[in-house]
Amino acid sequence: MTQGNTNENGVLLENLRLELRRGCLVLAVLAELRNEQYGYTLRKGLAERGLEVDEGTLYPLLRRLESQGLLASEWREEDKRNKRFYKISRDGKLVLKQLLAEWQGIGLSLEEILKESGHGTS
Amino acid sequence: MELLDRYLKAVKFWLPSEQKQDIVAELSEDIRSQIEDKESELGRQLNDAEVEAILKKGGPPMLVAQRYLPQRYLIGPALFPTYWMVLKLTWLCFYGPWLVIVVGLKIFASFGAAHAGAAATGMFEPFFRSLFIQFAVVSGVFALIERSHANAEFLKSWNPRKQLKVRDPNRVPRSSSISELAWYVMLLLWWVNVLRIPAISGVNITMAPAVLRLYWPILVLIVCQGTIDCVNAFRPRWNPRRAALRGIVDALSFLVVGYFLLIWVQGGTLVAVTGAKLASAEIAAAQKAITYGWSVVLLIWAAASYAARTVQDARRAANKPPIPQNWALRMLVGD
Repeated sequence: MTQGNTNENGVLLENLRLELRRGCLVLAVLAELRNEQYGYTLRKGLAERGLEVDEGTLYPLLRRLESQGLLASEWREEDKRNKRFYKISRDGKLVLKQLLAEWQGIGLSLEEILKESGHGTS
Repeated sequence: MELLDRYLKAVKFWLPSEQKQDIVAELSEDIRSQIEDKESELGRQLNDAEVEAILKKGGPPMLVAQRYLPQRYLIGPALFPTYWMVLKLTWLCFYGPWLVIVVGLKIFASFGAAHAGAAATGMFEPFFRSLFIQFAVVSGVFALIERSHANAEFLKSWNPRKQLKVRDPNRVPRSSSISELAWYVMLLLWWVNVLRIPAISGVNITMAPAVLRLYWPILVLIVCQGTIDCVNAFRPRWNPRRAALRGIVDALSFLVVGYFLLIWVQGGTLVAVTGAKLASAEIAAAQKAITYGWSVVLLIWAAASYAARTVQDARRAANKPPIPQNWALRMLVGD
Protein backbone atom coordinates (compact mmCIF):
# COMPACT_ATOMS: atom_id res chain seq x y z
CA MET A 1 0.00 0.00 0.00
CA THR A 2 1.49 3.37 -1.02
CA GLN A 3 1.78 6.45 1.21
CA GLY A 4 -0.84 8.20 -0.96
CA ASN A 5 -3.32 5.34 -0.53
CA THR A 6 -2.75 5.27 3.21
CA ASN A 7 -3.47 9.01 3.42
CA GLU A 8 -6.58 8.69 1.25
CA ASN A 9 -7.86 5.82 3.39
CA GLY A 10 -7.13 7.83 6.53
CA VAL A 11 -9.17 10.78 5.23
CA LEU A 12 -11.96 8.47 4.09
CA LEU A 13 -12.06 6.73 7.46
CA GLU A 14 -12.11 10.05 9.29
CA ASN A 15 -15.02 11.31 7.15
CA LEU A 16 -17.00 8.10 7.68
CA ARG A 17 -16.27 8.20 11.41
CA LEU A 18 -17.54 11.80 11.62
CA GLU A 19 -20.66 10.85 9.67
CA LEU A 20 -21.32 7.94 12.03
CA ARG A 21 -20.78 10.09 15.11
CA ARG A 22 -22.98 12.98 13.94
CA GLY A 23 -26.27 11.21 14.61
CA CYS A 24 -25.03 9.66 17.86
CA LEU A 25 -23.92 13.06 19.12
CA VAL A 26 -27.47 14.45 19.12
CA LEU A 27 -28.57 11.48 21.16
CA ALA A 28 -25.68 11.85 23.62
CA VAL A 29 -26.22 15.61 24.05
CA LEU A 30 -29.95 15.23 24.67
CA ALA A 31 -29.30 12.43 27.16
CA GLU A 32 -26.56 14.39 28.99
CA LEU A 33 -28.76 17.47 29.25
CA ARG A 34 -31.39 15.67 31.28
CA ASN A 35 -29.31 17.40 33.94
CA GLU A 36 -28.75 21.12 33.43
CA GLN A 37 -25.20 21.98 32.37
CA TYR A 38 -23.29 24.71 30.57
CA GLY A 39 -21.36 24.09 27.37
CA TYR A 40 -17.89 23.45 28.76
CA THR A 41 -18.95 20.96 31.46
CA LEU A 42 -21.11 19.19 28.88
CA ARG A 43 -18.11 18.91 26.59
CA LYS A 44 -15.92 17.62 29.40
CA GLY A 45 -18.59 15.13 30.46
CA LEU A 46 -18.89 13.76 26.93
CA ALA A 47 -15.10 13.52 26.60
CA GLU A 48 -14.81 11.62 29.90
CA ARG A 49 -17.27 9.09 28.51
CA GLY A 50 -15.18 8.71 25.34
CA LEU A 51 -17.13 11.05 23.07
CA GLU A 52 -14.77 13.93 22.39
CA VAL A 53 -16.33 16.83 20.59
CA ASP A 54 -14.78 20.20 19.73
CA GLU A 55 -16.44 23.50 20.56
CA GLY A 56 -16.97 24.32 16.89
CA THR A 57 -19.25 21.28 16.62
CA LEU A 58 -20.95 21.32 20.00
CA TYR A 59 -22.11 24.95 20.28
CA PRO A 60 -23.72 25.16 16.82
CA LEU A 61 -25.45 21.85 17.60
CA LEU A 62 -26.76 23.19 20.92
CA ARG A 63 -28.13 26.26 19.15
CA ARG A 64 -29.78 24.14 16.48
CA LEU A 65 -31.41 21.87 19.05
CA GLU A 66 -32.60 24.92 20.97
CA SER A 67 -34.07 26.52 17.85
CA GLN A 68 -35.86 23.21 17.20
CA GLY A 69 -37.39 23.43 20.67
CA LEU A 70 -35.58 20.37 22.03
CA LEU A 71 -33.43 22.36 24.49
CA ALA A 72 -33.95 25.42 26.66
CA SER A 73 -31.16 27.73 27.78
CA GLU A 74 -30.52 30.69 30.05
CA TRP A 75 -27.55 32.90 30.88
CA ARG A 76 -26.60 32.80 34.60
CA GLU A 77 -23.64 33.93 36.63
CA GLU A 78 -21.49 31.22 38.19
CA ASP A 79 -18.01 31.66 39.70
CA LYS A 80 -18.22 35.36 38.78
CA ARG A 81 -18.62 34.49 35.10
CA ASN A 82 -21.64 34.53 32.84
CA LYS A 83 -22.43 31.07 31.54
CA ARG A 84 -25.17 29.71 29.35
CA PHE A 85 -26.92 26.73 30.93
CA TYR A 86 -28.78 24.21 28.81
CA LYS A 87 -31.47 21.71 29.75
CA ILE A 88 -33.59 19.33 27.75
CA SER A 89 -37.17 20.59 27.12
CA ARG A 90 -40.39 18.59 27.35
CA ASP A 91 -40.40 18.09 23.59
CA GLY A 92 -36.75 17.13 23.81
CA LYS A 93 -37.52 14.38 26.32
CA LEU A 94 -40.17 12.97 24.01
CA VAL A 95 -37.83 13.05 21.02
CA LEU A 96 -35.03 11.50 23.09
CA LYS A 97 -37.30 8.58 24.03
CA GLN A 98 -38.19 7.99 20.38
CA LEU A 99 -34.59 8.33 19.24
CA LEU A 100 -33.40 5.87 21.88
CA ALA A 101 -35.93 3.30 20.65
CA GLU A 102 -34.69 3.89 17.09
CA TRP A 103 -31.07 3.62 18.23
CA GLN A 104 -31.72 0.32 19.98
CA GLY A 105 -33.52 -0.98 16.88
CA ILE A 106 -30.57 -0.05 14.68
CA GLY A 107 -28.17 -1.70 17.14
CA LEU A 108 -30.12 -4.95 17.09
CA SER A 109 -30.40 -4.96 13.29
CA LEU A 110 -26.72 -4.25 12.87
CA GLU A 111 -25.77 -6.98 15.30
CA GLU A 112 -27.94 -9.42 13.35
CA ILE A 113 -26.39 -8.34 10.02
CA LEU A 114 -22.85 -8.62 11.36
CA LYS A 115 -23.60 -12.04 12.86
CA GLU A 116 -24.94 -13.31 9.52
CA SER A 117 -21.94 -12.03 7.57
CA GLY A 118 -19.50 -13.52 10.07
CA HIS A 119 -18.25 -10.18 11.42
CA GLY A 120 -19.66 -10.53 14.91
CA THR A 121 -18.69 -7.80 17.34
CA SER A 122 -17.92 -10.26 20.10
CA MET B 1 -5.26 37.22 26.67
CA GLU B 2 -4.50 39.36 23.65
CA LEU B 3 -4.39 36.29 21.41
CA LEU B 4 -7.80 35.15 22.60
CA ASP B 5 -9.34 38.59 22.08
CA ARG B 6 -7.93 38.76 18.57
CA TYR B 7 -9.27 35.28 17.83
CA LEU B 8 -12.75 36.12 19.12
CA LYS B 9 -12.79 39.37 17.16
CA ALA B 10 -11.94 37.46 14.00
CA VAL B 11 -14.75 34.93 14.65
CA LYS B 12 -17.18 37.77 15.40
CA PHE B 13 -16.48 39.37 12.01
CA TRP B 14 -18.05 36.42 10.15
CA LEU B 15 -21.11 36.02 12.36
CA PRO B 16 -24.59 37.45 11.67
CA SER B 17 -24.97 40.73 13.58
CA GLU B 18 -27.95 39.63 15.70
CA GLN B 19 -26.02 36.63 17.08
CA LYS B 20 -22.51 38.07 17.34
CA GLN B 21 -22.53 38.91 21.07
CA ASP B 22 -24.26 35.75 22.18
CA ILE B 23 -22.08 33.33 20.23
CA VAL B 24 -18.81 35.07 21.05
CA ALA B 25 -19.70 35.23 24.79
CA GLU B 26 -20.33 31.48 24.86
CA LEU B 27 -17.25 30.64 22.81
CA SER B 28 -15.12 32.93 24.97
CA GLU B 29 -16.41 31.23 28.12
CA ASP B 30 -15.51 27.81 26.72
CA ILE B 31 -11.98 28.80 25.69
CA ARG B 32 -11.34 30.61 29.00
CA SER B 33 -12.47 27.47 30.85
CA GLN B 34 -10.06 25.38 28.76
CA ILE B 35 -7.21 27.78 29.58
CA GLU B 36 -8.07 27.75 33.30
CA ASP B 37 -8.17 23.95 33.36
CA LYS B 38 -4.79 23.76 31.67
CA GLU B 39 -3.34 26.37 34.05
CA SER B 40 -4.54 24.50 37.14
CA GLU B 41 -3.09 21.29 35.66
CA LEU B 42 0.33 22.92 35.08
CA GLY B 43 0.20 25.12 38.21
CA ARG B 44 1.19 28.24 36.28
CA GLN B 45 -0.08 30.72 33.69
CA LEU B 46 -0.07 29.60 30.07
CA ASN B 47 2.37 31.25 27.72
CA ASP B 48 1.39 32.53 24.25
CA ALA B 49 2.43 29.32 22.50
CA GLU B 50 0.18 27.22 24.75
CA VAL B 51 -2.79 29.57 24.26
CA GLU B 52 -2.10 29.47 20.54
CA ALA B 53 -2.24 25.66 20.61
CA ILE B 54 -5.69 25.77 22.28
CA LEU B 55 -6.97 28.28 19.70
CA LYS B 56 -5.54 26.26 16.83
CA LYS B 57 -7.42 23.20 18.07
CA GLY B 58 -10.67 25.18 17.75
CA GLY B 59 -10.03 25.84 14.05
CA PRO B 60 -9.74 28.91 11.82
CA PRO B 61 -12.11 31.77 12.80
CA MET B 62 -14.01 31.77 9.49
CA LEU B 63 -14.63 28.03 9.72
CA VAL B 64 -15.74 28.29 13.35
CA ALA B 65 -18.20 31.08 12.46
CA GLN B 66 -19.45 29.22 9.40
CA ARG B 67 -20.57 26.28 11.58
CA TYR B 68 -23.08 28.57 13.29
CA LEU B 69 -24.64 29.60 9.99
CA PRO B 70 -27.29 27.65 8.10
CA GLN B 71 -26.04 25.84 5.00
CA ARG B 72 -26.50 28.16 2.07
CA TYR B 73 -26.30 27.39 -1.63
CA LEU B 74 -26.44 29.49 -4.71
CA ILE B 75 -27.65 26.35 -6.48
CA GLY B 76 -28.60 23.46 -4.20
CA PRO B 77 -27.82 19.76 -4.64
CA ALA B 78 -31.30 18.99 -6.01
CA LEU B 79 -30.96 21.48 -8.85
CA PHE B 80 -27.23 21.18 -9.46
CA PRO B 81 -27.29 18.19 -11.90
CA THR B 82 -29.75 20.06 -14.18
CA TYR B 83 -27.69 23.25 -13.93
CA TRP B 84 -24.52 21.36 -14.81
CA MET B 85 -26.21 19.63 -17.73
CA VAL B 86 -27.44 22.95 -19.18
CA LEU B 87 -23.95 24.44 -18.87
CA LYS B 88 -22.38 21.41 -20.53
CA LEU B 89 -25.00 21.45 -23.27
CA THR B 90 -24.22 25.05 -24.21
CA TRP B 91 -20.48 24.50 -23.94
CA LEU B 92 -20.48 21.35 -26.01
CA CYS B 93 -23.04 22.41 -28.60
CA PHE B 94 -22.10 26.02 -29.06
CA TYR B 95 -18.84 27.14 -27.48
CA GLY B 96 -16.95 23.93 -28.21
CA PRO B 97 -17.65 24.08 -31.96
CA TRP B 98 -17.12 27.85 -31.90
CA LEU B 99 -13.70 27.51 -30.32
CA VAL B 100 -12.55 24.70 -32.56
CA ILE B 101 -13.95 25.87 -35.87
CA VAL B 102 -13.86 29.66 -35.79
CA VAL B 103 -10.59 30.09 -33.95
CA GLY B 104 -9.06 27.25 -35.94
CA LEU B 105 -10.13 28.77 -39.25
CA LYS B 106 -9.08 32.25 -38.19
CA ILE B 107 -5.62 31.04 -37.29
CA PHE B 108 -5.49 29.07 -40.53
CA ALA B 109 -6.66 32.07 -42.57
CA SER B 110 -4.21 34.48 -40.96
CA PHE B 111 -1.30 32.06 -41.15
CA GLY B 112 1.70 33.82 -42.59
CA ALA B 113 0.09 37.25 -42.32
CA ALA B 114 2.02 40.04 -40.62
CA HIS B 115 -0.24 40.16 -37.55
CA ALA B 116 -1.30 36.51 -37.38
CA GLY B 117 -0.76 36.27 -33.61
CA ALA B 118 -2.76 39.40 -32.87
CA ALA B 119 -5.60 38.24 -35.14
CA ALA B 120 -5.78 34.87 -33.38
CA THR B 121 -5.68 36.47 -29.92
CA GLY B 122 -8.37 38.93 -30.92
CA MET B 123 -10.76 36.04 -31.61
CA PHE B 124 -10.59 34.88 -28.00
CA GLU B 125 -11.84 38.15 -26.55
CA PRO B 126 -15.47 37.96 -27.82
CA PHE B 127 -15.40 34.21 -27.13
CA PHE B 128 -14.54 34.61 -23.45
CA ARG B 129 -16.88 37.58 -23.05
CA SER B 130 -19.73 35.55 -24.49
CA LEU B 131 -18.76 32.52 -22.37
CA PHE B 132 -18.76 34.64 -19.21
CA ILE B 133 -22.16 36.17 -20.01
CA GLN B 134 -23.63 32.73 -20.74
CA PHE B 135 -22.24 31.36 -17.46
CA ALA B 136 -23.59 34.33 -15.50
CA VAL B 137 -27.04 34.16 -17.12
CA VAL B 138 -27.45 30.38 -16.64
CA SER B 139 -26.19 30.59 -13.02
CA GLY B 140 -28.47 33.56 -12.33
CA VAL B 141 -31.56 31.81 -13.72
CA PHE B 142 -30.84 28.65 -11.69
CA ALA B 143 -30.15 30.69 -8.54
CA LEU B 144 -33.57 32.34 -9.00
CA ILE B 145 -35.24 28.94 -9.41
CA GLU B 146 -33.42 27.79 -6.25
CA ARG B 147 -34.66 30.82 -4.32
CA SER B 148 -38.24 30.41 -5.53
CA HIS B 149 -38.28 26.72 -4.47
CA ALA B 150 -39.73 25.87 -7.89
CA ASN B 151 -37.47 22.79 -8.00
CA ALA B 152 -39.28 21.32 -4.99
CA GLU B 153 -42.53 21.08 -6.99
CA PHE B 154 -40.67 19.61 -9.95
CA LEU B 155 -39.13 16.91 -7.75
CA LYS B 156 -42.43 16.10 -6.04
CA SER B 157 -44.13 15.42 -9.38
CA TRP B 158 -41.54 12.74 -10.19
CA ASN B 159 -42.98 9.57 -11.68
CA PRO B 160 -41.09 6.44 -12.81
CA ARG B 161 -43.40 6.17 -15.85
CA LYS B 162 -42.23 9.57 -17.05
CA GLN B 163 -38.57 8.56 -17.28
CA LEU B 164 -37.00 8.38 -20.72
CA LYS B 165 -36.93 5.00 -22.44
CA VAL B 166 -33.60 3.23 -22.81
CA ARG B 167 -32.39 3.99 -26.31
CA ASP B 168 -31.04 1.56 -28.85
CA PRO B 169 -28.04 3.49 -30.27
CA ASN B 170 -28.53 2.02 -33.74
CA ARG B 171 -32.19 2.89 -33.98
CA VAL B 172 -33.09 6.08 -35.84
CA PRO B 173 -36.08 7.81 -34.26
CA ARG B 174 -38.74 8.36 -36.92
CA SER B 175 -39.32 11.87 -35.62
CA SER B 176 -35.67 12.74 -36.37
CA SER B 177 -35.83 11.28 -39.88
CA ILE B 178 -39.06 13.09 -40.73
CA SER B 179 -38.01 16.45 -39.29
CA GLU B 180 -34.64 16.22 -41.02
CA LEU B 181 -36.32 15.23 -44.29
CA ALA B 182 -38.63 18.26 -44.00
CA TRP B 183 -35.57 20.47 -43.46
CA TYR B 184 -33.74 19.11 -46.54
CA VAL B 185 -36.87 19.42 -48.71
CA MET B 186 -37.15 23.09 -47.70
CA LEU B 187 -33.44 23.59 -48.31
CA LEU B 188 -33.69 21.94 -51.72
CA LEU B 189 -36.68 24.08 -52.76
CA TRP B 190 -34.80 27.18 -51.65
CA TRP B 191 -31.60 26.10 -53.37
CA VAL B 192 -33.32 25.52 -56.73
CA ASN B 193 -35.09 28.86 -56.33
CA VAL B 194 -38.63 27.52 -55.98
CA LEU B 195 -38.91 28.83 -52.42
CA ARG B 196 -37.77 32.41 -52.07
CA ILE B 197 -36.95 34.59 -49.10
CA PRO B 198 -39.60 37.36 -48.87
CA ALA B 199 -38.30 40.09 -51.14
CA ILE B 200 -37.43 43.55 -49.92
CA SER B 201 -38.49 46.08 -52.54
CA GLY B 202 -35.56 47.41 -54.50
CA VAL B 203 -33.13 44.91 -52.99
CA ASN B 204 -32.00 41.72 -54.62
CA ILE B 205 -30.17 39.06 -52.59
CA THR B 206 -28.47 36.21 -54.43
CA MET B 207 -25.71 33.76 -53.64
CA ALA B 208 -22.17 35.06 -54.03
CA PRO B 209 -20.20 33.66 -57.00
CA ALA B 210 -17.90 31.80 -54.59
CA VAL B 211 -20.92 29.88 -53.28
CA LEU B 212 -22.52 29.31 -56.68
CA ARG B 213 -19.32 27.63 -57.81
CA LEU B 214 -20.51 24.67 -55.68
CA TYR B 215 -24.12 24.77 -56.92
CA TRP B 216 -24.27 21.21 -58.30
CA PRO B 217 -22.26 19.46 -55.56
CA ILE B 218 -24.50 21.11 -52.93
CA LEU B 219 -27.63 20.09 -54.82
CA VAL B 220 -26.42 16.47 -54.95
CA LEU B 221 -25.55 16.50 -51.23
CA ILE B 222 -28.98 17.87 -50.27
CA VAL B 223 -30.70 15.18 -52.37
CA CYS B 224 -28.50 12.46 -50.83
CA GLN B 225 -29.18 13.64 -47.25
CA GLY B 226 -32.93 13.76 -47.97
CA THR B 227 -32.90 10.32 -49.59
CA ILE B 228 -31.11 8.76 -46.58
CA ASP B 229 -33.66 10.38 -44.24
CA CYS B 230 -36.45 8.97 -46.41
CA VAL B 231 -34.99 5.44 -46.19
CA ASN B 232 -34.41 5.87 -42.42
CA ALA B 233 -38.05 6.80 -41.92
CA PHE B 234 -39.10 3.40 -43.35
CA ARG B 235 -36.17 1.29 -42.12
CA PRO B 236 -35.32 2.90 -38.80
CA ARG B 237 -32.17 0.88 -37.99
CA TRP B 238 -28.67 1.68 -39.12
CA ASN B 239 -26.83 -0.97 -41.10
CA PRO B 240 -23.10 -0.64 -41.93
CA ARG B 241 -23.69 0.11 -45.62
CA ARG B 242 -26.21 2.90 -45.02
CA ALA B 243 -24.05 4.31 -42.23
CA ALA B 244 -21.01 4.34 -44.55
CA LEU B 245 -23.01 6.12 -47.25
CA ARG B 246 -24.21 8.79 -44.85
CA GLY B 247 -20.67 9.06 -43.46
CA ILE B 248 -19.39 10.00 -46.92
CA VAL B 249 -22.23 12.49 -47.49
CA ASP B 250 -21.67 14.00 -44.01
CA ALA B 251 -17.92 14.32 -44.55
CA LEU B 252 -18.49 16.09 -47.90
CA SER B 253 -21.14 18.32 -46.30
CA PHE B 254 -18.64 19.19 -43.58
CA LEU B 255 -16.10 20.24 -46.23
CA VAL B 256 -18.67 22.44 -47.98
CA VAL B 257 -19.71 24.13 -44.72
CA GLY B 258 -16.04 24.51 -43.78
CA TYR B 259 -15.41 26.22 -47.15
CA PHE B 260 -18.26 28.69 -46.43
CA LEU B 261 -16.87 29.41 -42.97
CA LEU B 262 -13.44 29.99 -44.45
CA ILE B 263 -14.94 32.59 -46.80
CA TRP B 264 -16.46 34.30 -43.79
CA VAL B 265 -13.34 34.36 -41.62
CA GLN B 266 -11.30 35.64 -44.55
CA GLY B 267 -13.69 38.60 -44.74
CA GLY B 268 -15.53 37.43 -47.86
CA THR B 269 -19.30 37.26 -48.28
CA LEU B 270 -21.68 34.41 -48.98
CA VAL B 271 -24.34 36.58 -50.62
CA ALA B 272 -24.42 39.29 -53.25
CA VAL B 273 -26.74 42.19 -52.48
CA THR B 274 -27.79 44.48 -55.34
CA GLY B 275 -30.15 47.41 -55.39
CA ALA B 276 -30.36 50.50 -57.56
CA LYS B 277 -30.91 52.83 -54.61
CA LEU B 278 -28.27 51.32 -52.33
CA ALA B 279 -24.90 52.92 -51.77
CA SER B 280 -21.88 50.64 -52.06
CA ALA B 281 -21.17 51.00 -48.29
CA GLU B 282 -24.74 49.84 -47.52
CA ILE B 283 -24.38 46.89 -49.88
CA ALA B 284 -21.09 45.86 -48.25
CA ALA B 285 -22.60 46.19 -44.74
CA ALA B 286 -25.68 44.14 -45.69
CA GLN B 287 -23.55 41.41 -47.30
CA LYS B 288 -21.32 41.26 -44.23
CA ALA B 289 -24.26 41.19 -41.80
CA ILE B 290 -26.04 38.35 -43.65
CA THR B 291 -22.81 36.34 -43.91
CA TYR B 292 -22.10 36.87 -40.21
CA GLY B 293 -25.66 35.87 -39.22
CA TRP B 294 -25.62 32.69 -41.32
CA SER B 295 -22.16 31.72 -40.12
CA VAL B 296 -22.77 32.26 -36.42
CA VAL B 297 -26.30 30.90 -36.25
CA LEU B 298 -26.24 28.11 -38.82
CA LEU B 299 -22.89 27.16 -40.27
CA ILE B 300 -20.87 26.65 -37.06
CA TRP B 301 -23.58 24.40 -35.72
CA ALA B 302 -23.79 22.57 -39.08
CA ALA B 303 -20.01 22.02 -39.24
CA ALA B 304 -19.91 20.62 -35.69
CA SER B 305 -22.95 18.48 -36.39
CA TYR B 306 -21.58 17.03 -39.66
CA ALA B 307 -18.20 16.35 -38.03
CA ALA B 308 -19.79 14.52 -35.07
CA ARG B 309 -22.10 12.59 -37.40
CA THR B 310 -19.19 11.54 -39.60
CA VAL B 311 -17.47 10.02 -36.56
CA GLN B 312 -20.64 8.20 -35.45
CA ASP B 313 -21.36 7.01 -39.01
CA ALA B 314 -17.80 5.74 -39.42
CA ARG B 315 -18.11 3.71 -36.21
CA ARG B 316 -21.43 2.21 -37.29
CA ALA B 317 -19.98 1.44 -40.74
CA ALA B 318 -17.12 -0.43 -39.06
CA ASN B 319 -19.64 -2.42 -36.99
CA LYS B 320 -18.61 -0.62 -33.82
CA PRO B 321 -21.12 0.93 -31.44
CA PRO B 322 -21.39 4.72 -31.73
CA ILE B 323 -19.74 6.82 -29.03
CA PRO B 324 -22.12 6.70 -26.03
CA GLN B 325 -24.32 9.67 -26.50
CA ASN B 326 -25.21 12.16 -23.83
CA TRP B 327 -27.77 14.92 -24.32
CA ALA B 328 -25.26 17.30 -25.85
CA LEU B 329 -23.96 14.85 -28.43
CA ARG B 330 -27.46 13.71 -29.35
CA MET B 331 -28.54 17.28 -29.98
CA LEU B 332 -25.45 17.88 -32.07
CA VAL B 333 -25.81 14.71 -34.13
CA GLY B 334 -29.59 14.98 -34.40
CA ASP B 335 -30.21 11.32 -33.59
